This record gives sequence, C-alpha cells and structure tokens, in this order.
Amino acid sequence: MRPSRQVHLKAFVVRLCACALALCGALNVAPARAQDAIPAVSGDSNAFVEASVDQSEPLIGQQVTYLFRYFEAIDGGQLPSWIRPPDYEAPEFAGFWVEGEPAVSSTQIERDGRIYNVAELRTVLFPTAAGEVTIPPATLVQYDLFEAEDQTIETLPVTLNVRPLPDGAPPGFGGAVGDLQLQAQTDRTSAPVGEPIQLRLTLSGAGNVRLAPAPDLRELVGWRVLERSSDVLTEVIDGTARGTRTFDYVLIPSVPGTVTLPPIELVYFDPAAGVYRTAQTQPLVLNAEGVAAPLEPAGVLTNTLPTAPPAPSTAAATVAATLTLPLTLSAEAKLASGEAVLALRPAPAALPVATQPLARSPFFWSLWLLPGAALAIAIGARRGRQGKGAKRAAQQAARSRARAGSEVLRELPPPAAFASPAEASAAAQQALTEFLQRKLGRPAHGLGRAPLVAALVAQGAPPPLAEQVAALLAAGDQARYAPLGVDWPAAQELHGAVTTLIRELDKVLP
Amino acid sequence: MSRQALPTPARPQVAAAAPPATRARRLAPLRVAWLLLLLTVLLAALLLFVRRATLDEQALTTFEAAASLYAGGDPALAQQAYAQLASQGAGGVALLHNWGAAALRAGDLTTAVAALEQAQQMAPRDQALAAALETARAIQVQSSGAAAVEPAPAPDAAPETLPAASPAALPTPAPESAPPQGLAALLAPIRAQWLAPNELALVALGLWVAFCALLLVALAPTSRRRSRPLRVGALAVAIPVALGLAIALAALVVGG
Repeated sequence: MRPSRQVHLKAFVVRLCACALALCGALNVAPARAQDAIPAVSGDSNAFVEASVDQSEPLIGQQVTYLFRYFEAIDGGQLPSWIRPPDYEAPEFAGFWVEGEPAVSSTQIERDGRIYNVAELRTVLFPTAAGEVTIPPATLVQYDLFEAEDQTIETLPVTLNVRPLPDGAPPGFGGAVGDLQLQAQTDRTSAPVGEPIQLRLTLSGAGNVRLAPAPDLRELVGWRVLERSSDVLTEVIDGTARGTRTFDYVLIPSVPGTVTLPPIELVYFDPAAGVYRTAQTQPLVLNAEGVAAPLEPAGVLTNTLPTAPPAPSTAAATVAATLTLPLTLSAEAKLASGEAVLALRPAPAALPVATQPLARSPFFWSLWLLPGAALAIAIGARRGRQGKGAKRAAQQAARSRARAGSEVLRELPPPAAFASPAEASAAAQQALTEFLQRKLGRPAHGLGRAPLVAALVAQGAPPPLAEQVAALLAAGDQARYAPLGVDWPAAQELHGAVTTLIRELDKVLP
Repeated sequence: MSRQALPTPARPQVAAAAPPATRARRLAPLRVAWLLLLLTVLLAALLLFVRRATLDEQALTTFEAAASLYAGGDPALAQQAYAQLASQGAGGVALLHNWGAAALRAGDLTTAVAALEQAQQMAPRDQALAAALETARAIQVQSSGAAAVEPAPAPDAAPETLPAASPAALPTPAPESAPPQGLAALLAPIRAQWLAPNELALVALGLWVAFCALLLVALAPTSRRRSRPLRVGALAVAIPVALGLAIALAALVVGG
C-alpha cells in the first residue's frame, strides 16, 4: 500500500483548466455519469466533494477506479480559488494495491439546475483481499483569504464488497488477474557449453502485472535455468491500468546438444470473461555446442540430466578429462548466473527491535558496580571484624590487669595454711611475682632489681613502692634459700607486707 | 602451694563460642554482598528480556512481502522493503541476512557486504552466514577489480533497475586496513568466530560475578578448620576466572 499524499499542484492545474473553459465560453456541460456505486457527497450546494468507485463488487485483483470529484458552482460567488488551490488528501486505501499517481481531469457538470466546474482525480486500485472493504473519507482543504481558518470538507466513506475469484483455478495459477499476453525472446539460440543465453519473458496487458508471479522454468532439462532480474513498467491508459513486466533469465547449457524450450505458460483470470485463461509462449529451439562441462558451478536451479547428449569424440573426451580446474566466474557472471543468489531466511515468529550492543549500554556497565560493591562490603566487614577482635583482646587484657590484685590475693592462702614458714614465704613471693607479671605484661622472674624498679616506675608506680617491691622480692629469696630458714613471725610479716604492697600497687598501676 | 594453683588469666573467646545474635550481626554484611550478586544476575536477565522487544505484525507482514518480492524476481524492491524495516527499528540476523541477500542479487555489493557483516557479527557461529559473506566479498573484490579496468558508465545513462536502498542504516564498511597485530590479533577470533558482542559482554559480566563470588567465599568469616580447603579452592579457582575475565574484557574493549 502506498501512503496517502496531498495532490496540491494537480488540483491547481484542474482549477486552471476549469476556469479557462468557463472564460472561453466553451461550455461542455456533461450530465452526471452513472456510477455503479452511489456517490458519497459532502459539502454545501456551492462547493462539495464526492467519492465513488466504478465497481462496487469487484473480484480480487480486478481493477477498481476510485473517483474523487470536487464540485464548485460557477454562480457560487466565490473568489477565484486558483489564487490558492485546495489541497487533496487521498484516503488510506487499506486492502488495495494503489497503481501509480491519480489521473487528474476537469469538466463541467450540470446538476440540479446548476453548472459546476468539476475537478476529477481517478485512482486505480486493485483489491488484494476478499470481503467488505471500506475506503475512508478523502479530504479537501479549502483556503479562503477572508477566513481565519481553513475549511475542510470530506467525502463519505465508500464501501465495496470484494468477491473472491471463482473456484476451479487450473494448476499453476498464481493470482494474476487481467487480460495478459506472454512472449519469450532470447539473445541467441546457440551457445557453447557453459556460456549463458539470455532469455527474456515479457508479460503485458491490462491488469496489475506487478503482482503477477514469475513463470516457472524449472522443467528445462539439461540446462541450468537461473533467474536474474525483473522489471516492471506500468501506465494508465483511458482509465485502464496496463503494464509490461519482464523476467530475465540466464540459460546455461551443461551438456552439448539441441533442446527445445517448451512453451512457457502463465495462468491468469480474465475478469471480463469471467474465466481462467493460459498465456503461453512459442517453443524455442536452443543449441549447445562443445563438450560437457567438467565441473558445474553451484546454483539454485540445476537440472543435470541431458536430453540427448551426443557421444563426445576421443579428442573432446581428452580435453574434458584435462579440465580439472573449477570454473571461475567473474563477478558479473556470478551475478548473472545466480551464484550470488542466497536463500532467504524464513520470517521469525516476531521481528526483533534493533538494539545497540550491550557494551554501549550504561545500564550494562552499571551492573558491574554491584559485584564490586559486594566485594567491598565483604572486605570492609572482614577488616571490621579484625579491628573489633584486637580491641576486644585489648579490653580483656585491661580488665585482666585491673583484676590482677584482687585475684592474686584471693588465691593466696593465709600463712597458717602452709606446713612451714618457708612455704608460706615462697607462696607470698610467688603471688607478688604473678601480680607483677600480669601488671607489666611480661615475666618478672628474669628481671634484675634495677630494671624491675624502672619498669614499675614507667608503669606509674611511685619510686618508694617500686623499691619496696624489690626489697620484698629479695626478702622472699632470703626466706626461701637462707641456710637457717625463716621462722613463722618473719613469714607472717612477709605475707602481710606482700598483701599490703599488692593492694597499693593495684591502685596505682593500670 | 605450687605455682599451678594460681589461676591463668582468661583468654579472648574464639568466634565459634560467640552467641548466636553476635554471629548473625557478623554475617549481615556478607548476606548483603550475596544479595547484591544475586541482584546483578537478576538485572542481567531483566536486561536480556527487555532487549527482546519485537515489532508489530505489520512489520512481519512487510518482512514476508519482501521475501515474496525476492522470490518473484524483484530483489531491488525487496531490498527497499528490508531497508524500510530497518529504518523502522527492526533488527535481527534474519533481516540483515535477507537484506544482504537482496542487495547482493540486486547488484548493490556494498550494502550486501555491510548487511552480511553486521549479521555475521550478531551470529559469528553461523556457518551459512559466513559462507554468504564470503561469497559477497569475493564478488565485491572481483567487481571492484573489473571496475578498475573498465571505463566508467556515462553519467546520463539511465539505471536499469530501481535505485538501491540507502545503506545509511548499516554500519559503514571498514576501509581496507592492515590485519590486526599483537593483542588485537590474539583477541580477534573471539569476536569474529566464537562470540557475538552481546554474548561476550554477558560472559565478561558472568566471569566478574563468579570472581566476586569466589572472593566472598574466601573472605567468609569462619575459623573452622574444615573450611580452610574451601577457601583455598575458591582462591585457586578465582585465578583462572580472573584470567578469563581479563581476556573477555580486553576482547570487548579491543573489539569496540
């Protein structure tokens, strides 16, 4: 289908023609032509439009002429509209094949006692589907110098009942409708094996030859028959669409010999007579010279059985045997011979929309951020766990240090619980050592007196207390390792001094 | 009293002994991370679904009409119909292939090669398409060679066929250039023969998701001895995955 178009210039020409007729007085007032369909009229009595078709019940493929008329009363008192001619907007001819541009003409018509200048536009249509089809209104836009807005008038819709073609179509009928003739012509009748012969089929006559199928030539045996191109030339003569469509083929003999190209047929339906007819060509005699081709190039249509291959001579057979190289065709020959013909792919269930590659989509690249964010979250959580663990360990160590004094003293039994004064003194010294180890965070056994005092002072202990620690440790050593040993009063004194010192140090040491 | 009687200071508690609520809080960020990975996969699937939009039935009718024109021996009109479909936003391998076939048969070799090249990029493993493109290129080379020795036609000569459709909707054929070298030469087969650009992009995204998932497994907070082989295995698999990701990204970037 062709889209609707505005016929501006042609309406202008029509208007000029009508005005010229009126001025010259050559009034050729014609009565309204009888139409098969009732015209659909719209507008007032001075200017109106109507639309009609010449056949209200055409067959599929039969020509239908859609007539649009613009009536303008001569005595309507309107300004010369050719100053700015109206615009015609064709309707959407859904369900029809539109052939060419509308044909424009003009005339004068008497209707209801008034004479009108009439512009006519005839559009040739070919129905493509059976059933009731409605042509929507055609539109005409008028311009007036004294009106602020343009005036639009429309025809009424036109309804047709398209009939299907009658039953009983002969085999090979492909939908061609009209009065058609078929002719065949070759550029030569003889060619060497492997050389092409151009065959042109010409389908001509009244009807829509553009929709006619290509004749089938696949029955030619022994020759490669390759379709090359097609061309169409159409025109409307006296309201009837006529056309010529040519089908160009390339015939390439595979084997030498003479073959008769049988008549090529095309079945069509003649709507005037209401019968199916067959247009056919005259048989053509073609001759292939030389020897059989050793290697046949690929093609879409291939028949390899020779009709009557003559026995090659010994010399020819020798030549054929030595031709082992594949045929190399030129680009033109490939195009001509059909090697460039590719089988089309079937229509998909739904035609996809072309989209830009994913790599050019910002949304696609934004997706890459999500896994990265996930990874960052995991790494952050891991670092957070490690930090929390260290902090928790430090807090626990601090709490342990804070509880060191009370815990050590709670675990230290009184002197009476020991069997001897030496054991009581050793336990007191051990308790002090354990306390110092937990406060200082390192073993206090190996430290000398001076380093121990320095470490305690560095931790915040007053120097007198630090000196007292060193003195008590020395007293403990003396009590444990002195040859005379230690008595109970000395052991109890040492125990009490250690207990007091631990309590005081527990207050000042962190 | 022996020294062993003194109590040992309390040690920091291990993770396995943490209360359930604490463990749940510790796992929360990892759950979010896994959810992000899942969200990536879902969005990628959604992206594919959205990109599968199709045109209406009218376009399909035009597609079939173009095939009828081609079969009826009118490749020039068929080419125009395919070009019209492309201008309406249609795409796909079938359209580009048929467009190229119609252009080739109509003698518009530039459009044919461009359409078939674009189709081959979308379906690089399609052998029939590759053969069609090879045929079109060979004919184009021969035609250009013949045109170099034949005189140019008269400028006022009327064309025998309908004017070819404008290849504006097709990518401009790349000018003759030196073959790719270095990294581009190594990565060229990935784009030309193995994966379509969109497939390559999705493979790269999938490798990135897999790489991140493996690292999440390796970073999972657990002190169980039996999970150590799992971590080591995840890291071992992550290495080749990272290598494949680098190759895919390079092919994606080098191929444009």
